[in-house]
Amino acid sequence: MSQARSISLRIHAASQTREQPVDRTAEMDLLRRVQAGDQDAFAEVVQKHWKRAFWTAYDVVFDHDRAQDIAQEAFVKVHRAIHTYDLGRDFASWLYRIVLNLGIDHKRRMDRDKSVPTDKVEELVDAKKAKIEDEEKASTIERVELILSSLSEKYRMPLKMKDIDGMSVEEIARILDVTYSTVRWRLHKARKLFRERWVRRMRQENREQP
Amino acid sequence: MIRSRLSRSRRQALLQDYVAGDLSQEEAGEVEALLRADPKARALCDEARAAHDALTVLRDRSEPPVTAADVLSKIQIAIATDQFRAKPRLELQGEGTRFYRRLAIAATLLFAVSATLLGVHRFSRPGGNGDVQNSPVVVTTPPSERGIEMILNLDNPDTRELMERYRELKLDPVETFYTPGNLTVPISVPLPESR
Repeated sequence: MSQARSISLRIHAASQTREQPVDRTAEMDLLRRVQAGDQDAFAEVVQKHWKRAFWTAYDVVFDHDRAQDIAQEAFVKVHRAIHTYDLGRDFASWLYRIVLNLGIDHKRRMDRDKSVPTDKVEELVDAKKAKIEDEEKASTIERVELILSSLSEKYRMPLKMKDIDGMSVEEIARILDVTYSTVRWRLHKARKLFRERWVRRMRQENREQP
Repeated sequence: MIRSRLSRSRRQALLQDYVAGDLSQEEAGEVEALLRADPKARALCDEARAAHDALTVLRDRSEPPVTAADVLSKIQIAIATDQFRAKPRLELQGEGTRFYRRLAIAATLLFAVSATLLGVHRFSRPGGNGDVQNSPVVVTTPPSERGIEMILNLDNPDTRELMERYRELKLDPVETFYTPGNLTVPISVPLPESR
């Protein structure tokens, strides 16, 4: 039976990064195999897009456990809907949209139930720190995440998508289902807010230093 | 000159775009001219660059605390559960149809055999179907998930003959618990195998 069929894992050491060009033909071939029910191909898709899906989810909820749940759920949704996926579309954008929607739903639930225990937060911070070898970089990431989390979603997401994930304004507009001009405007506003808060924080830290 | 033409907010936006590398070569050239001429613009540009550089550190975030290999099995389980939830409605319909078709065939054959051997009147009360003491066979209802269960009454003289005919008809009961001396023998007819 299909449920019982074992799926071999093909995990490759290299993960996709922002800088790596996407080979559209290879990607389409891979997705065609997933559509045909090839579970190895699906495992490859998960491996290829996991990092981005995870951090996208994280940048919505700022919680590792929840980000993992969201990213996992997104891939289940992808598997469920893969036969309806149009190979002409950009898969990463499609996945991004799914993760984003799930993340926003989770975030709303989190906002309704704001009861993350303190020890849990500490545990997450420790785990994150342990993962990041470069202390200085870790500290910068922490501060950036803090400022990002203080921005409202409508500014945070275009900023993240453009300046961190390297998407085009057109792509962001498609994913967020808003106009090109709206993205441009939100992006300017988000950059301004981020810059002001970043500079304020740096100045404050400089003042506090002996 | 770009300096005189732009409002403060537009200039900020332009400088931010410049830092992010979003401007065309021509626009970038104009901004660079502005930066050379205007110390305030240079200060603002420095701030924008510092903020942009900080933000782009997130591009170098390490691998997530949980790797794809770690979660793949969980995703596969979730997919399997998802398929299990989604499929039965369709599959069970088919199974159910096949099951009841087979039940109907089995019941018809049993009835035909019984009627031939015992006469239809033997199934009428008293001693009709449902009267375990006097009828050769009782089909328990509703059929369980394991299949159709029937109890054969060994006290009835025609039961053994009925069982022989039952085997000849190749209805192939999977389990026949036949213990001499016992009065009843339950037989399970399996559900048809799913595809």
